[in-house]
Amino acid sequence: MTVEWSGGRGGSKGRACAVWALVAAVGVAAPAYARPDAPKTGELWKFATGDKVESHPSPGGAFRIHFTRAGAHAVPLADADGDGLPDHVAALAVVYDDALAFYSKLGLPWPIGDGTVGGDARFDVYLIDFAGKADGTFVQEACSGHACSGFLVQENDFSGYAYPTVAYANRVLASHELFHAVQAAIDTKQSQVMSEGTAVWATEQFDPSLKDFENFLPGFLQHPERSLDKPMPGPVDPFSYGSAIFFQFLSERFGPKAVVQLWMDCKDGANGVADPDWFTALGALLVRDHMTTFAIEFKQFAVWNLRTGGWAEAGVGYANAAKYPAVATTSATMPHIDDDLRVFYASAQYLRLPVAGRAAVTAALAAKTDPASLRIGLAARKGKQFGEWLWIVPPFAPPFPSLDCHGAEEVVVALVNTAQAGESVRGRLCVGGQAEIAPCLPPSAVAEPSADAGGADADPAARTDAAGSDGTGPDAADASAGPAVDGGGCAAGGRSPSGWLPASAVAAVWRWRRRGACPVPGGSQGSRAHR
Amino acid sequence: MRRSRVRADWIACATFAIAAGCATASAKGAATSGAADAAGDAAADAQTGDVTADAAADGGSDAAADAADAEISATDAATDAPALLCKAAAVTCSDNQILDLGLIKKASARAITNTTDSAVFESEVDASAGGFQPTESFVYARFTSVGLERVDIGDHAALESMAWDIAFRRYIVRLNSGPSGPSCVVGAPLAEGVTFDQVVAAARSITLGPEAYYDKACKLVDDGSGLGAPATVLSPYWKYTGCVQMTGQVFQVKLADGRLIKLTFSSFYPPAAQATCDSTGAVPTGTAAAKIRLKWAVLAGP
Repeated sequence: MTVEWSGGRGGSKGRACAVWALVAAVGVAAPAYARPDAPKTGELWKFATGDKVESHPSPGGAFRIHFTRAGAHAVPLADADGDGLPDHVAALAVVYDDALAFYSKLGLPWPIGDGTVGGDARFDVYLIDFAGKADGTFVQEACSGHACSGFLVQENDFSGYAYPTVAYANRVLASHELFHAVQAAIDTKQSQVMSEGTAVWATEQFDPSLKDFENFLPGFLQHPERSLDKPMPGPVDPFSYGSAIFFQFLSERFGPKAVVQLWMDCKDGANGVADPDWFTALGALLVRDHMTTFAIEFKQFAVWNLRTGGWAEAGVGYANAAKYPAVATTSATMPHIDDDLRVFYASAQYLRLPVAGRAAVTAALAAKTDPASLRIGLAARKGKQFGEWLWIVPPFAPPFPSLDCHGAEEVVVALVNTAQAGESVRGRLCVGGQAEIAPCLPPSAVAEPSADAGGADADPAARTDAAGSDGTGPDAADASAGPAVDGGGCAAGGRSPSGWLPASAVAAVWRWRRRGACPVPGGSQGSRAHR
Repeated sequence: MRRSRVRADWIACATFAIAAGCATASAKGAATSGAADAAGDAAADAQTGDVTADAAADGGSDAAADAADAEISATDAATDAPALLCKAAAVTCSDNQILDLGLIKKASARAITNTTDSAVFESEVDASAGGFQPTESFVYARFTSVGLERVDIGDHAALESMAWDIAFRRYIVRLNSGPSGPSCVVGAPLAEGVTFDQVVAAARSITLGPEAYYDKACKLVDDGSGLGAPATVLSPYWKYTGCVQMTGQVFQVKLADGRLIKLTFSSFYPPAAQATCDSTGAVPTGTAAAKIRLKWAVLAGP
């Protein structure tokens, strides 16, 4: 028989920050959740009645591993060194010591101690047979504010699990679940994206040879169109686990301590905020500690995610990008017209469109909602080689710059909403040659085209972000708003910008935008298929 | 990770033409009534949501007046489509809904089959949607004189379409109203214990409500199942204790064209597995799921 179960690691969240010496100060109350060795409890994960439960203190002194040698919950009994202790238990205790030392070195707090529950002040780990339904979980117990103590329950022998070895599984589980206990020492009220995403990230930092991080990445990379801070619905949430890639991005951009600091900024009262939310704290952290913004970094994140898997290139994006799965893209043909574009905040979508003989390609947006946070990036691709990114930025007013496509196989379009909140950007998106984007242009632009508007090689000036070949570069639009045509970022990639948009054109753009018009009908809908 | 299902009284006393007495139905969570309170105002105002059977019985004057103003898009206006009792209303919380429910643009091609006997239809909807973690749109459908008929529309477009009445994906079943869609398909569970066959005419005083599974802050109101499912009008058809168990709950639904329907759900798994689930709280490993069977019939007005 089986039941529908969320699987995963049962990752609970947690908080609190204090070493065990501070237990008394934290004021741990009596556990509300019975320990697995407590008899006659109704808890899901517990030893069987009659099991003889032993325990072993870790050499580092921080953990106590509880186990049994017989019955369904028995650990592997091999004892090669003949010391009377199953090697499995001895090795696991060392792994926990190592993981804690690693996290401590990063600057993270120890889990909150539990007084004498479990026999002493050591952090308790219980080895239980999950029978394939899960492989471990952190259980919160006593809390002070949003900081909680607790204990871990971990699969006893991994029999029937897909891990390559028991030792491998122990390193994955110990580093992941212990990180939840560390989180619990800081704050237990953060979202699943933060709790599970950073727990997967933590395992990768602890031991990059493990493939746990890479295995979870499809959960995010198959859904880049979801807002970064929104867990996926349903009992299984691969998106939250896969969002580890965002924390890896932060880690590679600013060092792993940026993620640690983000957690510390989530502690109640940190930076004067009574009950911080990680996503809000993130924006403040980037400005305060790294002199950048979420908008700039999220655009960069979107570009890095595109350069994974088969499109990875040494020196571009993630250090191990070639080992990561590809991000989801949508194949389309030009002229591409999408009447129902919807790009959520903190999300990205990618199109790939064969050049099909076009010498230059552009994109236009007739927005139905405020598009201020949207960035439209175009890059010509041939094999793994990407040309410079051309970023088209608000107010998405004509004339639109073109991307030189000579010699390219296809154009890759990145639609990146750089906001951290708010309504989605919706509207009609057009991608094609200058003459093919008319359905997204205001009537005035169609009725009175500029001299070069109809030419495939036209390269009119428009507001863009200058971009390097890796998609970096200033994002001037993030620091300004309104109808300015060039806020300092007027430089089309690929081809040089042809000049300033005349003031009369600016006025026309604003009249059009204020009417909210998207008046030019026609144009065929490009066929779309997921890669 | 621990799951429990919360039951709470939901609707007010409802009297039936045949079911004696006054009873109270139940839903999965107390949040359901809260949702109705919180989100109901806007939804009801916009969609004539709080439609009573009594109003329909006396000619539905208000609704008829609305119908006179009905604006049906060319897409929705099938040649034989009856007049609708409401205008298309703007759907709120669409961004959150797309993310929270994982809504998809492409229409589902999953099948609906019907059998009929004496004006009672038994419909089977393949709501499997690609698996436990859905990768496909809901299956959208409308109640017709020949059975439950699929409407080929994707999740995103459905948020702006009057063409459908009901939608299915896994264990979630939505009506086209409130945050779910622009129409005014409303419903309510009948009194607990009332059987499908006992209901021979529309209830006189039951209050039918629109979907209201988002609050005014666009926060999802879940059904208390622990599965993150929205508290829809029809949520009380199932409960979760390790598998999707049928409650036998009978509902009354009023369609946008004014027809009243009684419906109940008989299974989520194949019948034998459903019986096992209902009696033991578990189903055999490998059991196919989300082939929803429902029984329904059009009711005469009260």
